[in-house]
Amino acid sequence: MELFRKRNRSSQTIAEEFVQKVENEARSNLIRVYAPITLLVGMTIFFSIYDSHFFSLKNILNILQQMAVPLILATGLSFVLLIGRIDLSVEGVMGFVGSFMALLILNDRNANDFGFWGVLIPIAIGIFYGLITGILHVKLRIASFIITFATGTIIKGIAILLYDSRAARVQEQWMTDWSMMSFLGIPLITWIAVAFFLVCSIILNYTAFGRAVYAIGDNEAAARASGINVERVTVKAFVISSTAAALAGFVALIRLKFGQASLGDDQMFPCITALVIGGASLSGGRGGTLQTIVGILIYMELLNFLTIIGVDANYKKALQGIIIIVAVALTLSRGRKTIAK
Amino acid sequence: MKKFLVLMLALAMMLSLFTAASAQDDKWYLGIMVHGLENEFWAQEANGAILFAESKENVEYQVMVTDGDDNKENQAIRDFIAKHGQRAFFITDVASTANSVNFAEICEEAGVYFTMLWQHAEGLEPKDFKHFVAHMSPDDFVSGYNTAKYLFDLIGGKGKVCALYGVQGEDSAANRYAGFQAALKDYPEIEMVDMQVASWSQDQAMNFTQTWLAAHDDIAAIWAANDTMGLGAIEALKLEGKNGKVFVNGVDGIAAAFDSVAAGDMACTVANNGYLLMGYGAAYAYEAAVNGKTFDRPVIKTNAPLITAENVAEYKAMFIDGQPEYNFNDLAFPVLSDYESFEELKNK
Amino acid sequence: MSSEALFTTHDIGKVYGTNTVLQDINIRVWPGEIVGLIGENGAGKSTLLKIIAGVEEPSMGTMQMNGQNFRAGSMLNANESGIGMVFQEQSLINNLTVAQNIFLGREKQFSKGNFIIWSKMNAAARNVLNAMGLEDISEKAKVRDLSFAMRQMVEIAKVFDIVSAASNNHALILLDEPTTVLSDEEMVVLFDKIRQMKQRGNAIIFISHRLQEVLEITDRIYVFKDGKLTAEVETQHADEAILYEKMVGRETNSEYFVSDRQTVPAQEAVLEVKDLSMFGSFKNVSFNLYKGEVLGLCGVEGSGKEDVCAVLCGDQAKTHGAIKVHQRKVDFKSPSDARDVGIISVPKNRREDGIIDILSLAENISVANYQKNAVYRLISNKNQRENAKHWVRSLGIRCSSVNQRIINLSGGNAQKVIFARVLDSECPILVLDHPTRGVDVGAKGDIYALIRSITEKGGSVLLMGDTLDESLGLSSRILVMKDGMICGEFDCPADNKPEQVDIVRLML
Repeated sequence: MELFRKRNRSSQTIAEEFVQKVENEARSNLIRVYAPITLLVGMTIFFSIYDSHFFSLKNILNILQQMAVPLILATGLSFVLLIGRIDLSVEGVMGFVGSFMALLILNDRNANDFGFWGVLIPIAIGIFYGLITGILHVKLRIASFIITFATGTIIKGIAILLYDSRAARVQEQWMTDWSMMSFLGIPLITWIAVAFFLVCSIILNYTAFGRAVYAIGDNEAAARASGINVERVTVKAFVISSTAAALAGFVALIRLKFGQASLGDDQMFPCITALVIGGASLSGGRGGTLQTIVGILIYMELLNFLTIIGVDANYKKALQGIIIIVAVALTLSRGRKTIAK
Repeated sequence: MKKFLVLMLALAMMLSLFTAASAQDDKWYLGIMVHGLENEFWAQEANGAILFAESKENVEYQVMVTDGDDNKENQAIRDFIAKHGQRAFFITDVASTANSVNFAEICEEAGVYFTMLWQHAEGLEPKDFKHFVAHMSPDDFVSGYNTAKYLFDLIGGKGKVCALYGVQGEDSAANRYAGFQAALKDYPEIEMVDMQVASWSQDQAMNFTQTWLAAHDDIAAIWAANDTMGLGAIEALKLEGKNGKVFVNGVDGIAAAFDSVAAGDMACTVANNGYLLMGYGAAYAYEAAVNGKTFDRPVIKTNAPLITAENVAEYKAMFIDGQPEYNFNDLAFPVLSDYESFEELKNK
Repeated sequence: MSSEALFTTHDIGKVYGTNTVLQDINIRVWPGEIVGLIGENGAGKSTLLKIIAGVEEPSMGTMQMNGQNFRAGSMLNANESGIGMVFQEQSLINNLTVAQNIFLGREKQFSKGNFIIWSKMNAAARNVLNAMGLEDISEKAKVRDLSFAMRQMVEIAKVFDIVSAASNNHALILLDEPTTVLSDEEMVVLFDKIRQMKQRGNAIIFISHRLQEVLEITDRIYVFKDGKLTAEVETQHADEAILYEKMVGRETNSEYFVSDRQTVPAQEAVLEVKDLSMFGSFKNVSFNLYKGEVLGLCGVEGSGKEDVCAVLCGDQAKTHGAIKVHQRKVDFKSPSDARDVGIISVPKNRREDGIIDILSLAENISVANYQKNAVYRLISNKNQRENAKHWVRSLGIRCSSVNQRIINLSGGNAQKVIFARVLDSECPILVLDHPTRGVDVGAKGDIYALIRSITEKGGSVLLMGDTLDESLGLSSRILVMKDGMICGEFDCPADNKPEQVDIVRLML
């Protein structure tokens, strides 16, 4: 025991400092984890006090209805983000599924009326497309940024070719009904989104695959060494992302009933922004169920609030940008040496 | 520095090789420059130019898609000129306002006639270029004014109104909105509640409309700067059963908007008529190139009909289900008739 | 002790390019034995463990486990053969819980259908932790929220469990400096667990810089030096003095380090460091660096010397203390600020921090001082090439042309290019962090001569040698660091170098 005492005397201060340093890091980490949800609660209270219309039932239902598509997309994207990849093809897949679906069910462009199959087939193709994208990424070892941009462009191109310059308007009665339907007062499409979100949450939190997603994002080499099939998990993440995109295409079509390939335009970056606000990291490993829903809610509430109080449209985009930067800066951890890419 | 020079030299040589290879025949070659074909209006434009080309026996055509990319457009026209020399002529929906200058200079240098649609840079006038035959576009100001006026009349000249703007920084978005504001001045009892930038997007327009409906109970009309946004507003109204009760317009005249007008959901839209624009645009360039004609008033505002419940069936048959038949020899046909009165209004 | 060895190696060697890091290693481990590996930094101990654990492939030689030929190939295979390694750099996944980490990649046993029954996994993890005496670590805590010591214990528990689950035979556990971040109590527990493992007939290979620990826990000790196995001692016959002697072994060769050109430093201090501290790393470090001096900074890894250098070259922020350059107080926040006040460094990890592999040799030289070769602020390729040719000639860089991509140069030549960059910036103070790491013998000699000419011209060098010999051979003075503080200072005149043993004694 003599040796321990000796070591203790000479190194006490530095060792203590070290322990304290680790504790400090853990504490600031804790702040980071709870910052987004604090922001959300604070925002909601502030907005409600500032303008009574914000917390009206009607407006809450609006937000719930409007968040259906972003929530689905963000849920899917969160898997890809968690493993440190990105999927730029979701807009293309979403546009394809929506516009192709509009052509297969009862519409004003052709005589098709495949009903149930008309919904299922485009979704299946969309999901399969994610499989191809994932396999290309893994096998060709092309950066996800590039490969998904390419595959996204291709599938959007195919969508445009399929409807041959004039998008189809949906005439299916049930789809019109669905867009009006609600359960417990909450719109049906919101339930669809929530269901998808819950299923994905279970996958993320209760399966080996879900753990592997976190492991790869945090430390790919260690994950590989632990016997995780990194390639397989990566492909699966892309499949979930494209499933989300396909489902989002379906939901967007229910909402808008107009099968343009541009259905998916400008959908992805807001979702990624929302995820980052919620606390996800673009370099992987951080994020998850809570971060996704909190991020989406912050983003949607912000947009809604700025419209409610009637901020001049010309200032709004700039204001939106500033708020996003502030929100992300608050919730993000930063390394000293390298700037996040 | 040396490397750079060598590279430039090599490029210059390659270019001169292309130019030397001009074709020698009695055909004329029409280059049709459009942004893309995924939008039905752009497709209408291309088809209008094709209608014209097919009406002349000595014209062959090629449709070139620019995707709004300046470099892509410039490369395409250079290649086309290299292939066909001065037997080429162009009708273009130019890739961007900024590129209209490059486009004009490339064609002027090559001695190739062209007509431009829609955007053109400030100060870029046909009179300053020998080969710039004409500039054509529907007047966005007029479209904005006419649709707004129609909405205001429908609601009896008073009530709350919201507006959906296009993309910030785009001329057509700004001009349509200026038309809307000019009409607003004529109706002092109309209360302007809010304007939002929905960037031509159906999804965003729907979201904004939903939010408006939550914040205000008594909105009478929603003015939209294009059809897609109008359709988005209508989807939001449908959720509350207010479609056809709160009046919404569109601009551009896409098929879905025609249907919506016919169904009574949309109050009115404007048919920009791409057939007419590119068809007659090509006809003007052709007359200049082949017959050496010049025009006194080369900046042409074209006729864009207001589509309402009364005339929608007629125009749908012409623009959507079929194709219009035009006499491309009647060059006065596309010109907006009461042009002067609107010019006065704009300057006010 | 059983008559059959659990694990043996035969002539294992490892070569990186032209650089031999391990040569002819023959070791033998018996069941129920704890074997210590000791040696200086870079002696090859860690490399050997990595080869055994399947992280790296040996360049030559064979291994046997349980009497069967064994070639790991991957860590998973090694695990299946009963070999597990606890890494110095921890390989846990920070954003997963302790239980999830312990069973990462082995979740199947707790699954029902596709879903993991967390309660089952957590219970199993609880057992694993309890068996290790880690009652105070929650299996549900995120690894990120644990202290480093706790993480280390979790990692050890994980490896113990993996190996004992994967193999029915006796296991071999490799521990690479497991005690560095442990508190005394935790170390008692760890040693206790190691002894328990041993009692069940498992074998352990143990690396540590702390000789007392090695003497306490091991049965037998292998001593490494310069990639070779130089001695084998029964622990019961060893004490610290014997081990020091075996570790340092080699006579310092004054010719090798060009000692006749060692300068006598001037009285003028170019760099004065007073009470420099970095929270959690080192404390109250004070020293002067004189004009024309090579000042060696010695200490084991984790002694804080790396961070002292990092602070001095602007890579890390100090938390306390003052730095003066030429009597002027300076404060810098980045390596570029440090260069502006006259301090520049040759980084330790050439591949990551030193060379820019996509650029040519010439550009790698001028990248730190583009303006020097510029005409009207635009880079002149011609000046840049001429400048590079000058350095190629004066440093004897072997290359086909100055336009050659630096990635294609050998380690020694690439290192000379870095030196050229550093010298080109004409800073009076150089921080050399392992300047001869991964460099062959010939190039080492060139670099030593170069360091001599730098000091002859009045430059000053703060040196962290790749080996103790090197620090001793090159330096005029040596500072020894231990546990974040300077604990000794030695004058090293060319004709009267101190004994290595004395320095090592202070370091450990």
